Amino acid sequence: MPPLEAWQKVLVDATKYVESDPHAKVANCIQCHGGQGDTEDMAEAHDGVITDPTSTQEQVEKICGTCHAEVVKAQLTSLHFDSHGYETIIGARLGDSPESHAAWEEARVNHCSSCHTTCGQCHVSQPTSVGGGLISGHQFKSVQAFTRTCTGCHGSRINAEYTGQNEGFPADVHWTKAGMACFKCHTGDALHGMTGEDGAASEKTERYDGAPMPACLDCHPDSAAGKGEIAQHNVHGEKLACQVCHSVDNKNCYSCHVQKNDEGEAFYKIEPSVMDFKIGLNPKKSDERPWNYVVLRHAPIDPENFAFYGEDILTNFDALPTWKYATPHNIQRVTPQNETCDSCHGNADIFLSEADLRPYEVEANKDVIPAQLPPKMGQ
Amino acid sequence: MSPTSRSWVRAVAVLGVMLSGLLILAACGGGAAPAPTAVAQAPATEAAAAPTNTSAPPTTAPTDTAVPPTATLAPTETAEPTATATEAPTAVVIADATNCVTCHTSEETLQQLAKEEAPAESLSEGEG
Repeated sequence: MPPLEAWQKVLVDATKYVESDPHAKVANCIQCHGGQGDTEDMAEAHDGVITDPTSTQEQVEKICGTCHAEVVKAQLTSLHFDSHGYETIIGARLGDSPESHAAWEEARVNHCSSCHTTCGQCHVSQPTSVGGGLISGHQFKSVQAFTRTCTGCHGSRINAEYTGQNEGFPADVHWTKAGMACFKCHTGDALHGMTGEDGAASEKTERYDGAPMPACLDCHPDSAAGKGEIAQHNVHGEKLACQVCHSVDNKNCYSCHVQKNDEGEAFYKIEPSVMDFKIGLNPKKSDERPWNYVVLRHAPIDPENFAFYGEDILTNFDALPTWKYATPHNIQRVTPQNETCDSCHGNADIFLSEADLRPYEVEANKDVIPAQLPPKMGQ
Repeated sequence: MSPTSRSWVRAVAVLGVMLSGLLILAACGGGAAPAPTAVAQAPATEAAAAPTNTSAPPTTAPTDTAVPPTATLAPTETAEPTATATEAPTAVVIADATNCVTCHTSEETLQQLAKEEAPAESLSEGEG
Protein backbone atom coordinates (compact mmCIF):
# COMPACT_ATOMS: atom_id res chain seq x y z
CA MET A 1 0.00 0.00 0.00
CA PRO A 2 1.68 3.26 -1.07
CA PRO A 3 2.23 5.73 1.79
CA LEU A 4 0.26 8.97 1.60
CA GLU A 5 1.18 12.36 3.04
CA ALA A 6 -1.29 13.78 5.54
CA TRP A 7 -2.55 16.36 3.04
CA GLN A 8 -3.00 13.75 0.32
CA LYS A 9 -5.26 11.71 2.57
CA VAL A 10 -7.81 14.52 2.87
CA LEU A 11 -7.55 16.24 -0.52
CA VAL A 12 -10.93 16.40 -2.25
CA ASP A 13 -10.90 16.73 -6.04
CA ALA A 14 -13.08 19.66 -7.05
CA THR A 15 -13.68 18.32 -10.55
CA LYS A 16 -14.02 14.61 -9.89
CA TYR A 17 -16.06 14.92 -6.75
CA VAL A 18 -17.55 18.32 -5.97
CA GLU A 19 -18.63 19.10 -9.52
CA SER A 20 -19.25 15.66 -10.94
CA ASP A 21 -19.95 12.95 -8.41
CA PRO A 22 -23.66 12.28 -7.92
CA HIS A 23 -23.10 11.78 -4.19
CA ALA A 24 -22.01 15.40 -3.90
CA LYS A 25 -25.38 16.43 -5.31
CA VAL A 26 -27.44 14.73 -2.62
CA ALA A 27 -25.46 15.57 0.50
CA ASN A 28 -22.80 18.05 1.52
CA CYS A 29 -19.73 17.39 3.66
CA ILE A 30 -21.42 18.11 6.98
CA GLN A 31 -24.46 15.96 6.30
CA CYS A 32 -22.28 12.86 6.20
CA HIS A 33 -19.18 13.77 8.21
CA GLY A 34 -20.57 16.19 10.79
CA GLY A 35 -18.40 19.10 11.89
CA GLN A 36 -19.18 22.82 11.93
CA GLY A 37 -19.69 24.94 8.84
CA ASP A 38 -20.09 28.39 10.31
CA THR A 39 -16.49 28.93 11.36
CA GLU A 40 -13.14 29.48 9.70
CA ASP A 41 -11.23 28.09 12.65
CA MET A 42 -9.84 24.69 11.71
CA ALA A 43 -10.21 23.12 15.14
CA GLU A 44 -13.76 24.34 15.57
CA ALA A 45 -14.69 23.27 12.06
CA HIS A 46 -13.56 19.72 12.83
CA ASP A 47 -15.38 19.49 16.13
CA GLY A 48 -17.50 16.36 15.92
CA VAL A 49 -16.16 15.22 12.56
CA ILE A 50 -16.61 11.53 11.74
CA THR A 51 -13.82 10.41 9.44
CA ASP A 52 -15.61 7.31 8.19
CA PRO A 53 -19.36 7.91 8.38
CA THR A 54 -20.11 4.38 7.21
CA SER A 55 -18.54 2.53 10.11
CA THR A 56 -21.71 1.83 12.06
CA GLN A 57 -24.90 0.06 11.06
CA GLU A 58 -27.04 3.08 11.94
CA GLN A 59 -24.96 5.40 9.79
CA VAL A 60 -24.78 2.98 6.86
CA GLU A 61 -28.55 2.61 6.82
CA LYS A 62 -29.05 6.36 7.05
CA ILE A 63 -26.42 7.48 4.57
CA CYS A 64 -26.09 4.68 2.02
CA GLY A 65 -29.34 2.81 2.54
CA THR A 66 -31.52 5.54 1.15
CA CYS A 67 -30.40 4.75 -2.39
CA HIS A 68 -28.64 1.38 -2.04
CA ALA A 69 -31.07 -0.43 0.23
CA GLU A 70 -30.54 -3.97 -1.08
CA VAL A 71 -26.77 -3.76 -0.96
CA VAL A 72 -26.81 -2.25 2.51
CA LYS A 73 -29.15 -4.91 3.82
CA ALA A 74 -26.78 -7.67 2.76
CA GLN A 75 -23.58 -5.82 3.55
CA LEU A 76 -24.51 -5.24 7.18
CA THR A 77 -24.57 -8.99 7.83
CA SER A 78 -21.64 -9.86 5.57
CA LEU A 79 -18.33 -11.31 6.70
CA HIS A 80 -16.65 -8.16 5.46
CA PHE A 81 -18.69 -5.80 7.60
CA ASP A 82 -18.95 -7.56 10.96
CA SER A 83 -16.15 -10.14 10.70
CA HIS A 84 -18.36 -12.83 12.17
CA GLY A 85 -16.08 -15.46 10.66
CA TYR A 86 -13.87 -14.92 13.71
CA GLU A 87 -16.80 -15.74 15.94
CA THR A 88 -17.41 -18.95 14.05
CA ILE A 89 -13.86 -20.23 14.06
CA ILE A 90 -12.64 -19.02 17.45
CA GLY A 91 -16.06 -19.73 18.92
CA ALA A 92 -15.75 -23.40 17.99
CA ARG A 93 -12.61 -23.71 20.12
CA LEU A 94 -13.95 -21.89 23.18
CA GLY A 95 -14.89 -23.82 26.26
CA ASP A 96 -18.39 -23.91 27.62
CA SER A 97 -17.68 -21.67 30.58
CA PRO A 98 -19.01 -18.12 30.57
CA GLU A 99 -15.53 -16.97 31.61
CA SER A 100 -13.94 -18.21 28.39
CA HIS A 101 -16.60 -16.51 26.29
CA ALA A 102 -16.22 -13.26 28.23
CA ALA A 103 -12.44 -13.36 27.87
CA TRP A 104 -12.70 -13.97 24.13
CA GLU A 105 -15.17 -11.13 23.77
CA GLU A 106 -12.76 -8.75 25.46
CA ALA A 107 -9.92 -9.93 23.23
CA ARG A 108 -12.08 -9.68 20.12
CA VAL A 109 -13.00 -6.08 20.86
CA ASN A 110 -9.38 -5.13 21.55
CA HIS A 111 -7.71 -6.97 18.70
CA CYS A 112 -10.17 -8.05 16.03
CA SER A 113 -13.05 -5.59 15.86
CA SER A 114 -11.06 -2.90 14.03
CA CYS A 115 -10.49 -5.27 11.12
CA HIS A 116 -13.73 -4.89 9.21
CA THR A 117 -14.70 -3.24 5.99
CA THR A 118 -17.08 -0.32 5.70
CA CYS A 119 -18.70 1.06 2.54
CA GLY A 120 -16.28 3.97 2.51
CA GLN A 121 -13.16 1.87 3.01
CA CYS A 122 -13.74 0.11 -0.32
CA HIS A 123 -15.48 2.76 -2.42
CA VAL A 124 -13.87 6.02 -1.26
CA SER A 125 -10.74 5.56 0.81
CA GLN A 126 -7.99 3.16 1.73
CA PRO A 127 -8.76 0.92 4.70
CA THR A 128 -8.33 2.49 8.12
CA SER A 129 -6.10 -0.41 9.13
CA VAL A 130 -3.41 0.89 6.77
CA GLY A 131 -3.83 4.55 7.69
CA GLY A 132 -6.80 5.43 5.48
CA GLY A 133 -6.66 8.29 2.96
CA LEU A 134 -8.91 9.28 0.06
CA ILE A 135 -8.15 7.36 -3.12
CA SER A 136 -9.62 9.37 -5.99
CA GLY A 137 -10.20 12.74 -4.39
CA HIS A 138 -13.33 11.42 -2.63
CA GLN A 139 -14.85 10.24 -5.92
CA PHE A 140 -17.09 7.26 -5.24
CA LYS A 141 -16.19 4.31 -7.46
CA SER A 142 -17.91 0.96 -7.56
CA VAL A 143 -14.46 -0.50 -8.15
CA GLN A 144 -11.35 1.22 -6.82
CA ALA A 145 -7.86 -0.10 -7.49
CA PHE A 146 -7.41 -3.35 -5.58
CA THR A 147 -3.91 -2.24 -4.64
CA ARG A 148 -5.51 0.59 -2.64
CA THR A 149 -8.33 -1.40 -1.08
CA CYS A 150 -8.29 -5.23 -0.99
CA THR A 151 -4.59 -5.63 -0.38
CA GLY A 152 -4.70 -3.24 2.55
CA CYS A 153 -6.25 -6.07 4.56
CA HIS A 154 -5.41 -9.13 2.46
CA GLY A 155 -1.77 -8.22 1.99
CA SER A 156 0.64 -10.43 3.85
CA ARG A 157 -0.68 -13.71 2.50
CA ILE A 158 -2.99 -13.21 -0.49
CA ASN A 159 -1.38 -10.20 -2.12
CA ALA A 160 2.17 -11.40 -1.53
CA GLU A 161 1.34 -14.76 -3.08
CA TYR A 162 -0.75 -13.40 -5.93
CA THR A 163 1.74 -10.77 -7.07
CA GLY A 164 4.87 -12.86 -6.42
CA GLN A 165 6.35 -10.94 -3.49
CA ASN A 166 7.59 -14.05 -1.71
CA GLU A 167 11.16 -14.38 -2.80
CA GLY A 168 11.76 -17.48 -4.85
CA PHE A 169 8.09 -18.18 -5.50
CA PRO A 170 6.21 -17.19 -8.64
CA ALA A 171 3.21 -14.89 -8.87
CA ASP A 172 -0.19 -16.30 -9.77
CA VAL A 173 -0.69 -16.99 -13.48
CA HIS A 174 -3.91 -15.00 -13.43
CA TRP A 175 -1.78 -12.00 -12.51
CA THR A 176 1.28 -12.57 -14.66
CA LYS A 177 -0.56 -13.65 -17.80
CA ALA A 178 -3.84 -11.79 -17.54
CA GLY A 179 -3.26 -9.01 -15.00
CA MET A 180 -6.54 -9.90 -13.36
CA ALA A 181 -7.58 -7.74 -10.42
CA CYS A 182 -9.39 -9.28 -7.46
CA PHE A 183 -12.77 -8.14 -8.77
CA LYS A 184 -12.46 -10.27 -11.91
CA CYS A 185 -13.21 -13.32 -9.80
CA HIS A 186 -14.62 -11.88 -6.60
CA THR A 187 -17.77 -10.12 -7.75
CA GLY A 188 -19.57 -7.26 -6.05
CA ASP A 189 -22.41 -9.57 -5.06
CA ALA A 190 -20.02 -11.91 -3.29
CA LEU A 191 -18.08 -9.09 -1.64
CA HIS A 192 -21.31 -7.52 -0.37
CA GLY A 193 -22.59 -10.88 0.84
CA MET A 194 -25.45 -10.87 -1.68
CA THR A 195 -25.12 -14.50 -2.60
CA GLY A 196 -28.45 -15.68 -1.27
CA GLU A 197 -31.43 -16.33 -3.48
CA ASP A 198 -32.18 -13.41 -5.81
CA GLY A 199 -29.33 -11.39 -4.39
CA ALA A 200 -30.48 -11.68 -0.79
CA ALA A 201 -28.01 -11.67 2.06
CA SER A 202 -26.03 -14.87 2.34
CA GLU A 203 -25.85 -16.78 5.58
CA LYS A 204 -22.19 -17.70 5.38
CA THR A 205 -20.75 -18.42 8.81
CA GLU A 206 -17.16 -18.18 7.58
CA ARG A 207 -15.48 -17.72 4.25
CA TYR A 208 -15.36 -21.38 3.22
CA ASP A 209 -18.96 -22.02 4.26
CA GLY A 210 -21.10 -23.25 1.35
CA ALA A 211 -20.09 -23.49 -2.29
CA PRO A 212 -16.77 -22.10 -3.55
CA MET A 213 -17.14 -18.53 -4.70
CA PRO A 214 -15.66 -18.22 -7.19
CA ALA A 215 -15.09 -21.78 -8.38
CA CYS A 216 -12.24 -22.53 -10.80
CA LEU A 217 -14.69 -24.40 -13.02
CA ASP A 218 -16.75 -21.25 -13.49
CA CYS A 219 -14.11 -20.12 -15.99
CA HIS A 220 -12.50 -23.47 -16.76
CA PRO A 221 -15.43 -25.86 -17.34
CA ASP A 222 -13.30 -28.07 -19.58
CA SER A 223 -11.13 -28.92 -16.61
CA ALA A 224 -13.88 -30.92 -14.96
CA ALA A 225 -13.49 -34.69 -15.10
CA GLY A 226 -14.76 -36.02 -18.40
CA LYS A 227 -15.21 -32.59 -19.92
CA GLY A 228 -11.82 -32.14 -21.55
CA GLU A 229 -8.83 -33.93 -23.00
CA ILE A 230 -6.32 -33.49 -20.19
CA ALA A 231 -5.75 -37.00 -18.86
CA GLN A 232 -4.81 -35.90 -15.33
CA HIS A 233 -8.09 -34.01 -14.94
CA ASN A 234 -10.08 -37.00 -16.10
CA VAL A 235 -8.15 -39.44 -13.89
CA HIS A 236 -8.30 -37.46 -10.66
CA GLY A 237 -11.83 -36.15 -11.09
CA GLU A 238 -13.22 -34.79 -7.88
CA LYS A 239 -10.63 -36.48 -5.70
CA LEU A 240 -8.40 -33.39 -5.72
CA ALA A 241 -9.07 -29.71 -5.30
CA CYS A 242 -7.55 -27.76 -8.19
CA GLN A 243 -4.96 -26.15 -5.87
CA VAL A 244 -3.48 -29.53 -4.96
CA CYS A 245 -1.89 -29.73 -8.40
CA HIS A 246 -1.78 -26.03 -9.36
CA SER A 247 -0.62 -24.01 -6.33
CA VAL A 248 2.81 -23.76 -4.80
CA ASP A 249 4.43 -22.92 -1.44
CA ASN A 250 2.34 -20.53 0.59
CA LYS A 251 2.69 -18.58 3.80
CA ASN A 252 1.98 -20.37 7.08
CA CYS A 253 1.75 -18.60 10.44
CA TYR A 254 2.22 -19.82 14.00
CA SER A 255 1.31 -18.71 17.49
CA CYS A 256 -0.13 -15.23 17.43
CA HIS A 257 -0.36 -14.01 21.01
CA VAL A 258 -2.45 -10.93 21.69
CA GLN A 259 -2.05 -8.70 24.74
CA LYS A 260 -2.07 -5.13 26.04
CA ASN A 261 0.66 -3.08 27.68
CA ASP A 262 0.34 -1.07 30.89
CA GLU A 263 -0.99 1.89 28.92
CA GLY A 264 -3.79 -0.23 27.48
CA GLU A 265 -2.35 -0.43 23.97
CA ALA A 266 -3.32 -3.62 22.19
CA PHE A 267 -0.62 -5.50 20.32
CA TYR A 268 0.34 -8.96 19.13
CA LYS A 269 3.42 -11.08 18.75
CA ILE A 270 3.60 -13.75 16.12
CA GLU A 271 6.35 -16.13 15.09
CA PRO A 272 8.00 -15.53 11.72
CA SER A 273 5.88 -16.99 8.94
CA VAL A 274 7.09 -20.01 7.01
CA MET A 275 6.71 -20.82 3.30
CA ASP A 276 5.51 -24.36 2.99
CA PHE A 277 3.28 -26.60 0.90
CA LYS A 278 1.19 -29.31 2.49
CA ILE A 279 -1.58 -31.48 1.10
CA GLY A 280 -4.03 -33.05 3.53
CA LEU A 281 -7.48 -34.53 3.81
CA ASN A 282 -10.36 -32.15 3.21
CA PRO A 283 -11.70 -30.80 6.54
CA LYS A 284 -14.60 -29.08 4.74
CA LYS A 285 -15.78 -32.04 2.67
CA SER A 286 -19.34 -31.63 1.41
CA ASP A 287 -21.37 -31.96 -1.77
CA GLU A 288 -20.16 -28.49 -2.68
CA ARG A 289 -16.50 -29.22 -1.80
CA PRO A 290 -16.26 -32.93 -2.55
CA TRP A 291 -12.49 -33.34 -2.83
CA ASN A 292 -10.60 -35.92 -0.80
CA TYR A 293 -7.40 -33.91 -0.82
CA VAL A 294 -6.92 -30.15 -0.48
CA VAL A 295 -4.08 -27.76 0.25
CA LEU A 296 -3.75 -26.93 3.95
CA ARG A 297 -2.37 -23.77 5.51
CA HIS A 298 -1.31 -23.41 9.14
CA ALA A 299 -3.41 -20.85 11.04
CA PRO A 300 -1.67 -18.77 13.72
CA ILE A 301 -3.71 -20.44 16.45
CA ASP A 302 -2.30 -22.08 19.56
CA PRO A 303 -3.83 -22.88 22.96
CA GLU A 304 -2.27 -19.79 24.55
CA ASN A 305 -3.36 -17.19 21.95
CA PHE A 306 -5.56 -15.40 24.47
CA ALA A 307 -3.75 -16.31 27.67
CA PHE A 308 -3.40 -12.61 28.50
CA TYR A 309 -7.16 -12.50 28.98
CA GLY A 310 -7.54 -15.61 31.10
CA GLU A 311 -6.61 -19.21 31.63
CA ASP A 312 -7.96 -22.10 29.59
CA ILE A 313 -9.98 -20.01 27.21
CA LEU A 314 -9.61 -22.42 24.28
CA THR A 315 -10.56 -25.55 26.15
CA ASN A 316 -12.18 -26.94 23.01
CA PHE A 317 -8.99 -26.34 21.04
CA ASP A 318 -9.15 -29.65 19.17
CA ALA A 319 -12.54 -28.89 17.63
CA LEU A 320 -10.87 -27.68 14.41
CA PRO A 321 -7.55 -28.53 12.76
CA THR A 322 -4.75 -25.99 13.04
CA TRP A 323 -3.87 -26.86 9.44
CA LYS A 324 -6.91 -25.38 7.78
CA TYR A 325 -8.56 -25.63 4.37
CA ALA A 326 -6.80 -23.19 2.05
CA THR A 327 -6.97 -21.78 -1.45
CA PRO A 328 -3.55 -20.22 -2.09
CA HIS A 329 -3.55 -17.47 -4.69
CA ASN A 330 -0.43 -18.57 -6.53
CA ILE A 331 -1.84 -20.79 -9.28
CA GLN A 332 0.57 -22.20 -11.87
CA ARG A 333 -0.04 -24.47 -14.82
CA VAL A 334 3.09 -26.47 -14.00
CA THR A 335 4.14 -26.99 -10.39
CA PRO A 336 6.76 -29.11 -8.64
CA GLN A 337 4.09 -31.65 -7.63
CA ASN A 338 2.47 -32.04 -11.06
CA GLU A 339 5.60 -32.43 -13.22
CA THR A 340 5.32 -36.22 -13.09
CA CYS A 341 3.01 -38.69 -11.37
CA ASP A 342 5.63 -39.51 -8.75
CA SER A 343 6.29 -35.88 -8.04
CA CYS A 344 3.19 -36.26 -5.92
CA HIS A 345 2.47 -39.96 -5.53
CA GLY A 346 4.53 -41.31 -2.66
CA ASN A 347 6.14 -37.91 -1.97
CA ALA A 348 6.02 -37.67 1.82
CA ASP A 349 7.41 -34.13 1.81
CA ILE A 350 4.23 -32.58 0.47
CA PHE A 351 1.67 -34.45 2.53
CA LEU A 352 0.92 -33.38 6.08
CA SER A 353 2.15 -35.87 8.66
CA GLU A 354 2.43 -36.00 12.42
CA ALA A 355 6.07 -35.03 12.06
CA ASP A 356 4.89 -31.59 10.92
CA LEU A 357 2.91 -30.99 14.09
CA ARG A 358 3.72 -29.50 17.45
CA PRO A 359 2.73 -31.65 20.43
CA TYR A 360 -0.32 -29.55 21.32
CA GLU A 361 -1.89 -29.85 17.88
CA VAL A 362 -1.68 -33.57 17.14
CA GLU A 363 -5.21 -34.33 18.24
CA ALA A 364 -6.68 -31.34 16.41
CA ASN A 365 -5.23 -32.49 13.09
CA LYS A 366 -5.80 -36.23 13.23
CA ASP A 367 -8.61 -36.00 10.68
CA VAL A 368 -6.60 -34.12 8.04
CA ILE A 369 -3.47 -36.30 8.05
CA PRO A 370 -3.69 -38.96 5.31
CA ALA A 371 -3.42 -42.47 6.75
CA GLN A 372 -1.25 -43.47 3.81
CA LEU A 373 0.24 -41.75 0.81
CA PRO A 374 -0.97 -42.32 -2.75
CA PRO A 375 1.28 -45.15 -4.02
CA LYS A 376 4.14 -44.43 -6.42
CA MET A 377 3.31 -44.95 -10.06
CA GLY A 378 6.82 -45.53 -11.34
CA GLN A 379 6.51 -42.55 -13.69
CA MET B 1 -125.64 27.31 -27.82
CA SER B 2 -124.98 23.66 -28.33
CA PRO B 3 -123.25 21.61 -25.62
CA THR B 4 -120.18 21.25 -27.88
CA SER B 5 -119.81 25.00 -28.29
CA ARG B 6 -120.20 25.51 -24.53
CA SER B 7 -117.31 23.17 -23.59
CA TRP B 8 -115.08 24.77 -26.22
CA VAL B 9 -115.61 28.19 -24.69
CA ARG B 10 -114.89 26.77 -21.20
CA ALA B 11 -111.52 25.29 -22.35
CA VAL B 12 -110.39 28.56 -23.92
CA ALA B 13 -111.22 30.38 -20.69
CA VAL B 14 -109.17 28.00 -18.52
CA LEU B 15 -106.19 28.31 -20.88
CA GLY B 16 -106.41 32.06 -20.70
CA VAL B 17 -106.33 32.06 -16.92
CA MET B 18 -103.21 29.81 -16.92
CA LEU B 19 -101.37 32.05 -19.41
CA SER B 20 -102.23 35.11 -17.35
CA GLY B 21 -100.79 33.48 -14.24
CA LEU B 22 -97.50 32.67 -15.96
CA LEU B 23 -97.21 36.22 -17.26
CA ILE B 24 -97.69 37.62 -13.76
CA LEU B 25 -94.99 35.33 -12.29
CA ALA B 26 -92.52 36.28 -15.02
CA ALA B 27 -93.14 39.95 -14.48
CA CYS B 28 -92.38 39.61 -10.74
CA GLY B 29 -88.86 38.19 -11.49
CA GLY B 30 -89.56 35.02 -9.55
CA GLY B 31 -88.75 31.52 -10.68
CA ALA B 32 -88.85 28.09 -9.22
CA ALA B 33 -85.29 27.15 -10.22
CA PRO B 34 -83.04 29.77 -8.46
CA ALA B 35 -84.62 29.34 -5.06
CA PRO B 36 -83.15 25.83 -4.32
CA THR B 37 -79.67 26.99 -5.38
CA ALA B 38 -79.69 29.70 -2.78
CA VAL B 39 -80.75 27.26 -0.10
CA ALA B 40 -78.04 24.76 -1.00
CA GLN B 41 -75.23 27.32 -0.97
CA ALA B 42 -75.84 28.50 2.52
CA PRO B 43 -74.99 25.28 4.40
CA ALA B 44 -71.93 24.68 2.17
CA THR B 45 -70.43 28.01 3.15
CA GLU B 46 -70.96 27.28 6.81
CA ALA B 47 -69.32 23.90 6.54
CA ALA B 48 -66.21 25.31 4.88
CA ALA B 49 -65.90 27.93 7.53
CA ALA B 50 -66.19 25.50 10.39
CA PRO B 51 -62.66 23.99 10.27
CA THR B 52 -61.00 27.37 10.48
CA ASN B 53 -63.05 28.20 13.53
CA THR B 54 -61.15 25.89 15.83
CA SER B 55 -62.55 27.62 18.88
CA ALA B 56 -66.08 26.46 18.07
CA PRO B 57 -66.82 23.64 20.48
CA PRO B 58 -67.94 20.46 18.80
CA THR B 59 -71.03 20.41 20.95
CA THR B 60 -72.48 23.33 19.04
CA ALA B 61 -72.54 21.36 15.85
CA PRO B 62 -75.49 19.10 16.65
CA THR B 63 -77.62 22.12 17.55
CA ASP B 64 -76.69 23.81 14.28
CA THR B 65 -78.66 21.78 11.82
CA ALA B 66 -77.10 23.63 8.88
CA VAL B 67 -73.69 22.05 9.61
CA PRO B 68 -73.30 18.42 8.53
CA PRO B 69 -72.22 15.97 11.26
CA THR B 70 -68.87 15.44 9.59
CA ALA B 71 -67.94 19.00 10.30
CA THR B 72 -67.27 18.07 13.90
CA LEU B 73 -64.19 16.10 12.71
CA ALA B 74 -62.77 19.00 10.81
CA PRO B 75 -60.78 20.64 13.63
CA THR B 76 -58.96 17.39 14.32
CA GLU B 77 -58.08 16.93 10.66
CA THR B 78 -56.68 20.40 10.28
CA ALA B 79 -54.55 20.07 13.40
CA GLU B 80 -52.37 17.31 11.92
CA PRO B 81 -51.21 19.06 8.75
CA THR B 82 -50.49 22.14 10.81
CA ALA B 83 -48.17 20.18 13.10
CA THR B 84 -46.33 18.64 10.15
CA ALA B 85 -45.88 21.97 8.52
CA THR B 86 -44.18 23.42 11.57
CA GLU B 87 -41.69 20.50 11.74
CA ALA B 88 -40.66 20.50 8.10
CA PRO B 89 -38.57 23.69 8.07
CA THR B 90 -36.52 22.41 11.01
CA ALA B 91 -35.69 19.14 9.24
CA VAL B 92 -34.47 20.67 6.01
CA VAL B 93 -32.01 23.14 7.52
CA ILE B 94 -28.68 22.20 5.97
CA ALA B 95 -25.42 23.47 7.38
CA ASP B 96 -23.31 25.40 4.91
CA ALA B 97 -20.28 23.33 3.91
CA THR B 98 -18.65 25.95 1.74
CA ASN B 99 -15.70 26.30 4.11
CA CYS B 100 -15.11 22.55 4.06
CA VAL B 101 -14.96 22.45 0.28
CA THR B 102 -12.81 25.57 0.01
CA CYS B 103 -10.16 24.14 2.29
CA HIS B 104 -10.24 20.48 1.28
CA THR B 105 -9.99 21.19 -2.45
CA SER B 106 -6.92 23.40 -1.99
CA GLU B 107 -3.73 21.42 -2.22
CA GLU B 108 -1.73 24.42 -1.06
CA THR B 109 -3.89 25.01 2.02
CA LEU B 110 -3.84 21.36 3.01
CA GLN B 111 -0.09 21.13 2.63
CA GLN B 112 0.21 23.99 5.11
CA LEU B 113 -2.37 22.78 7.59
CA ALA B 114 -2.66 19.00 7.44
CA LYS B 115 -0.48 17.24 9.94
CA GLU B 116 -0.09 13.53 10.34
CA GLU B 117 -0.92 12.35 13.80
CA ALA B 118 2.22 11.00 15.35
CA PRO B 119 2.00 7.27 14.70
CA ALA B 120 2.00 5.30 17.89
CA GLU B 121 5.06 3.12 18.19
CA SER B 122 3.85 -0.32 17.26
CA LEU B 123 4.50 -2.95 19.85
CA SER B 124 3.40 -5.73 17.57
CA GLU B 125 5.92 -8.15 16.13
CA GLY B 126 5.59 -10.19 12.98
CA GLU B 127 3.21 -10.17 10.06
CA GLY B 128 -0.40 -9.38 10.77
